[in-house]
Amino acid sequence: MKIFAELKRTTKLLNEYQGQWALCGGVAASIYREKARFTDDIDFALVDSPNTSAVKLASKIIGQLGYKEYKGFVPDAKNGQQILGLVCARDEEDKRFAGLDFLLPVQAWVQDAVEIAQNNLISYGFAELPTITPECLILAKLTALISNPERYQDLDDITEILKTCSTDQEYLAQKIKEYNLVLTPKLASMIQR
Amino acid sequence: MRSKETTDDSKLIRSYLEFVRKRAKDTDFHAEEKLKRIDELSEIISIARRDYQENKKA
Repeated sequence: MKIFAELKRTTKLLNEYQGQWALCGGVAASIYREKARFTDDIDFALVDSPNTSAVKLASKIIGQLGYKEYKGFVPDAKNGQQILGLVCARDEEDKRFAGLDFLLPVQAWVQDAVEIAQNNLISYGFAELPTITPECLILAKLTALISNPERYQDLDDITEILKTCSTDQEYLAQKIKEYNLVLTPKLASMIQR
Repeated sequence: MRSKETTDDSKLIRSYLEFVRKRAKDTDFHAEEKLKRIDELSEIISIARRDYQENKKA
């Protein structure tokens, strides 16, 4: 299934959990870039709520969609140990299937990104969806880039987003400090325009 | 000191949320067109991948 159709189907199920999710990743990056880029998955950031945890929500949605569930691990910011960071769906039978990644609130940027996205509703034709803001997406990509400097796609997204979107520099600077993101001089000069 | 930091933080968030709402209202991100473009790119890439695999086998 293609990105457009899969996004429509998945967000229809997620709508029941308002406030608990935001669209992020390559799809959001494409929206903020001047021109869309290729991506073969759809990423959602999820947070816990008093009714259900992010992990349970991800499993439930993947089950409802009829896909097989996989777990993904990310390094813990405190001690570098691998911790459960995402729940994914892949359809091994269908090579055209767009993968789904549900990012869990174990990374510093996720909670803020989901909360703020509720004020950033973007129209995708079939619905207005809470979408990670350009600033929060930059912070997410900086986090990924710092843990693996060879993620050139993230660097390219940051460059393009900064070129295309008006951004709140004060918010970005504050959060870089709060999340303890240590930027290389090149990255710092790119961000502090 | 702590309460001043908290006040500054909430001021920053308030002003950021205002900025976010205004930008979302005033900007057309052409999201629907871009989603369709991702699908087109995906189609092109899957054809290229298939051709590559077939050429490799031949």
